[in-house]
Amino acid sequence: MRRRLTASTGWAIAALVALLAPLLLNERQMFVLMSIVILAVFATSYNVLLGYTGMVSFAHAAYYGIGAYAVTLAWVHLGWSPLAGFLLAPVAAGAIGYVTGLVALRATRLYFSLLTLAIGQLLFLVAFQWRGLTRGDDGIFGMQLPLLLQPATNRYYFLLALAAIALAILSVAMRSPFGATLRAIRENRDRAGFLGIKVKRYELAAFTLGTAFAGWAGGMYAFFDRGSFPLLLDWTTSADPIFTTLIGGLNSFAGPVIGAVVLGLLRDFVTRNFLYFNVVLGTVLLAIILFMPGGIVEGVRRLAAVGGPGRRRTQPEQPADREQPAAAGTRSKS
Amino acid sequence: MSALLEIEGLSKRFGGLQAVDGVDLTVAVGERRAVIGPNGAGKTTLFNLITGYLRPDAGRVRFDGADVTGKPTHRIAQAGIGRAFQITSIFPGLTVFENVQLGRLAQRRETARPFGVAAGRHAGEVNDILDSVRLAGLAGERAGNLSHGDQRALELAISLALEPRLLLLDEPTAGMAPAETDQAMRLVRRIAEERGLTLLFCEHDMEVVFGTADRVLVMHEGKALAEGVPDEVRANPDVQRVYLGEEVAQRPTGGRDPDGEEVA
Repeated sequence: MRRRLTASTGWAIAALVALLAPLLLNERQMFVLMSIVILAVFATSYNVLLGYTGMVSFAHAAYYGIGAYAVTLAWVHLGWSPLAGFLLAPVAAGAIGYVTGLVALRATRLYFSLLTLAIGQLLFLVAFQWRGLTRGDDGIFGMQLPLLLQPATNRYYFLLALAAIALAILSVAMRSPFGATLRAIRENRDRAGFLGIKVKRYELAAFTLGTAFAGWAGGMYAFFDRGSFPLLLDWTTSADPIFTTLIGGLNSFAGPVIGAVVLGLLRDFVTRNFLYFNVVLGTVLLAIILFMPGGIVEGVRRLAAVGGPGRRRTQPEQPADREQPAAAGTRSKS
Repeated sequence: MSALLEIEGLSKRFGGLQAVDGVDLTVAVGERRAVIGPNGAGKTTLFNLITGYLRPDAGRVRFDGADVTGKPTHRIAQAGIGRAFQITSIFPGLTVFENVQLGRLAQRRETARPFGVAAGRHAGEVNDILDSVRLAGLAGERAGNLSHGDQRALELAISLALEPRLLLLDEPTAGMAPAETDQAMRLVRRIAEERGLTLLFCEHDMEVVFGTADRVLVMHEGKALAEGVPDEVRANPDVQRVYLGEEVAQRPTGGRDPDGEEVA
């Protein structure tokens, strides 16, 4: 009950800050904020797989890229408005996610992960080499946005609205019986099967849902950058939602959103102030993951438990062993 | 009484090991039936065949008149055969409540519902089941933090949430101290009575079953060795030969896994 209240207060504050931020920020900062909003959706869509279902996919960026290309290709080849193209983004990514998920889910655990890596790189190569369709590594840039969306502030509010819709849908799905079932599959696949749950179908449904919203995030990116390029699909891009989720915490819905804010601000700060920004960034990420194994959400929960004695009676010794089985569980039972 | 479970000539071979060899078994509605036998007698394999975890090489399994032989596990679960496991099998990262609730969602076929809030759903029924296994006080606890005995009770509670008519218990007292064993069997008896369950449970410890089982099937090296009420079975010379001491001397492969893993 208490946690529910804290969570809704947190979301309300986040919404308020997000709505008022443009009043204080310059244009460059607006773009940082936009990238955070996009990353929040991208990472939350990934957490459907990683945190909720316990599947480690290395292909998530491929569907993100497909979402971005859905918008730009519809604009280049079909002359669609980006707004119409955006509707295509989650559909295309989800459809390709469904078909490729069908293939990847023939295996489980590590072999599933390796199959996703192969599938993701295959999709990347299509975008990279099919010049007739995608213009190869030149990418597609300079997409004409509707007049209303050209100012940074308007574009930001547009992306914020799209993010809110995506997060609302995913939040409903993850709190539903379907979401509860995914968590059970993460915890114990075999036992879930014995309960009469057709595990593969649920994994495929989770994969499709996750990839569709990766496409949604990719569609948002096309508005942000007014274009798309093959590297969006590359497996190195898949590291983004993984890191974001690990930083924020994969055991809660808000984790990836918090991770996106932290990683987005950190990346902006580090790239502007350090020459070897990747080294600095990597070190900071390593420190967060080492010293806050359950991510920021878990770290804060732990601090709250230590700081407020008697607030939760069963809590004091729980945090210590809590993140270990959870982390080990997702690693071994994916 | 009519038959709830009918097994005919059920057989399963793993490589060179005939794990289950032409077993017949009929369990009547409301009956409490034990399957006993030394380690490696084929009890767990028999259960795996009944619940669809393994496909039999030969034989039939009929439940409530319908043929369920070789059907997938989830079909068999939905038909009303529940199973609690030898190795404690729970959802460690979920709360005790959520563990049982999941069984409830599965039973109501609501697991695919992508809307509506799962938290607190079916609270009445879930708490009722938690009450009957004496876990109501731990409903909010993370299941992985429970003691071994409580985890076994939770495991049972998950199975009960599926509202089975026939409940299979695979060595419900494995790894328990004598006092715990007593308590666990009392719990099983009480639940079977309260919920009108038919029980089929296996044990390798003969003494455990006598207070609980109406009838006993003794298995030895995959075959049905003897069958009858507990006193008959206890008096049976074949059973005594298998059980009294000779077991260790005669069987150099005494630690053979019931699933035949050593052979495979």
